[in-house]
Amino acid sequence: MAKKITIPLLLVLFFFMMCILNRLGTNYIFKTQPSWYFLNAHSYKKFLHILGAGFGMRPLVGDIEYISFLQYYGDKENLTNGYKDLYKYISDITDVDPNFTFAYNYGSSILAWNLQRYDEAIAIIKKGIQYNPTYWRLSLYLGAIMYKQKGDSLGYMKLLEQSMKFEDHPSMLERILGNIYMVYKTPDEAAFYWVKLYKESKYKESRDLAYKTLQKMISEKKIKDINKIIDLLNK
Amino acid sequence: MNIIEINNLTKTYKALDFWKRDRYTAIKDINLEIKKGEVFGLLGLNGAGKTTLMKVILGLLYPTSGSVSIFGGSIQDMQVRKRIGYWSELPYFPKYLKTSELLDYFAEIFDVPSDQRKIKIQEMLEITGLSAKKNERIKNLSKGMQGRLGLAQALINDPDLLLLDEPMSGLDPLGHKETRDILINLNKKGKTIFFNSHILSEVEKICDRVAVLYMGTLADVKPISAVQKKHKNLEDYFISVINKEVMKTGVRPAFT
Amino acid sequence: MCGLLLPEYQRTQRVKKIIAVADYIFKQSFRNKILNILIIFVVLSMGFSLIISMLAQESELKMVIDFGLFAIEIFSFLTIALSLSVQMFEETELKTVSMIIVKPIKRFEYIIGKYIGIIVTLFWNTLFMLVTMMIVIKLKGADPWALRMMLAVLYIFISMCVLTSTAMLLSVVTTSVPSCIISLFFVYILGHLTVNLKHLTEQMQNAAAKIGIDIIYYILPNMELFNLKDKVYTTEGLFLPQYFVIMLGYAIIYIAITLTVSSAIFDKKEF
Repeated sequence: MAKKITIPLLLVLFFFMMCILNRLGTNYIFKTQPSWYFLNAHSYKKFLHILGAGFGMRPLVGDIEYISFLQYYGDKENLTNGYKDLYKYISDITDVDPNFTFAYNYGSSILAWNLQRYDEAIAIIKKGIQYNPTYWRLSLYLGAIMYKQKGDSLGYMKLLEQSMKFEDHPSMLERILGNIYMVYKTPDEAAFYWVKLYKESKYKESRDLAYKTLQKMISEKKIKDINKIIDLLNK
Repeated sequence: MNIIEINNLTKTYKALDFWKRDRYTAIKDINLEIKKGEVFGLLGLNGAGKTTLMKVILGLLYPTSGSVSIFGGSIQDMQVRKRIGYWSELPYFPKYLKTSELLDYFAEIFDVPSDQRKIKIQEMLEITGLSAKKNERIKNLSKGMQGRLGLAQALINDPDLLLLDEPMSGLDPLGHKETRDILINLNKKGKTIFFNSHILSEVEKICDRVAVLYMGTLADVKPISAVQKKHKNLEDYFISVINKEVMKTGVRPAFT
Repeated sequence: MCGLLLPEYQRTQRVKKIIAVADYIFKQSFRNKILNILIIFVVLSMGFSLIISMLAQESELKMVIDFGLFAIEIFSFLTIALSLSVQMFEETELKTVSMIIVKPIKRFEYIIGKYIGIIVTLFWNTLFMLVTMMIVIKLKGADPWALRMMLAVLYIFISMCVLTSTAMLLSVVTTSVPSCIISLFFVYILGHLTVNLKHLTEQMQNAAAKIGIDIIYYILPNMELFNLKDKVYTTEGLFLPQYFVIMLGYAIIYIAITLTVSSAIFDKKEF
């Protein structure tokens, strides 16, 4: 008889404890994840995003959207219309996975440096900063883009140099910085940078461009201290 | 002394719908005693309620009314269950276990001490002729061998009471004889055996008493000696009881 | 609870029986060809992630980790679904359970043993998948021992323990294998969406909708509590010890409640 009363009472007690812990855990999630993360109308524009949330795999859906974005950007046919949907593609990635910081870096870099669509680039970076306030590298990119927009070359060159220190910088920034040095620094200084890029960059495109640029500079006799450059290359 | 006492036992199956209305009464007002050391055979047509009665005794089904007492206690008492061995018709065993693993598993549940377990398993395999299949996966055993494995697991705990549901179903004639010899030997050691079967020739050779179930009610209970005095054989007795019940109830059961 | 009041000998016997059932369930699951095929698919899918990640230029490692964590969770879910469906089929169609429950074992001991057996199967599967993922990450040239990733996998395992207990409850309540598996699938999906729904209700005025969503939120397992896959890259996070204690406490109580209710229902079942 005692068992018949005790067990249901204990079950009810444990149920309430479980509800309290559930609430505590949920509050913790709400505290650490900003409100836009949950059932934000923009987060669930697509069925794929809802599916990702249902399986608890929003980052993987973000990766799929990222591949889709790369396919779009890599298709030369889209160049004819100036990649008009690029902003939408980047928005889709960052809607489903607001913590995909590389998407903000890369997307804003293409919009700013390649397509000169500064307003869209700034909007993307600001979204990234809002959703990842402690990821301060985005502020560097924002600064660089704003300087470029104003035409302040020295300003954005400095910020790009700072961004190069971090391993997760997009490869295109290496090449952009090299091209900036070609304009604003002496040929020897630019050549030193290209040698460093050729020897240290983990990206094949950057190494290939560095090699071609150095070849061109050497053949056009732009470099004064050519022996030093060749020694560095041979080291 | 009565090992099993069944008093006014009724089992009505409930429908599977939401309202759980009664479906049909499988056994009704059964009163039966099984004495210590006897071999008792339960006979009946298909659908008479033999398996239902067996399952209620074992606790697989709960009685609608009435009671069953085994060794003076309830089947829910674990000490009672330790003294029972059960062999069901066409037993299905987990197919990925080996023969010895299955017996070891059941021996563990019966609290057979670990130092005696291996000996017991070997003994059971020898009795049932499965020594050569000790390390064979159950899925590789034939139906007959799985039937023998059923007997082995029923005897692993050296039970005082054996409940067998169609024990010779699926066995070849040699298997019939071997099973019969095993049961007779067990009875000589003082075990009580309660089983149901359609193989009347075997029932006649083994049992001390028989009962006939007809449409869920106990039609007749008689010692084998009395049956043999009055009738040519057990089949003759069985048919006469069924005919009497058909006359009494006016219901002829359909062939099932 | 009442078991603690038993004499020591009986407690030992009870534990031995539970372990015997767990061992039996584990052997059945582990030797089942379907689960072996699942393992092969896991290895293939992890290998596939190495190839597909090449499409995610400059973000390959992230894709490999995301895919790996997703694969671990989804294949763990399939392990539970398959183990349970095999067990349910054997028990309901082939009646193997009747050979066991007529023996001197209480039904709740059988339920607990069965639960532990499935968890042990799940543990080995998860460990194998984790090692596979670590090998893939190492092939990508990154550190396979990242603490956050390990914690994410641990949380996945704990969430699957909770899901297994829910699955056990569904298996005793439902009458067929397909309905059990479909219900489990919906519990899994809704479990991930409840936090989002809960957040939505806090901005709604509709009392009926609030109550309805609250019922789902409190009764179904909150799978989002254990979901750290989304947060592996965030600088804020749920990797703090305080959160771990809350989450673990929730998991233990939820498992205890569902197994108790399962045992109570199983006790009344007829075979």
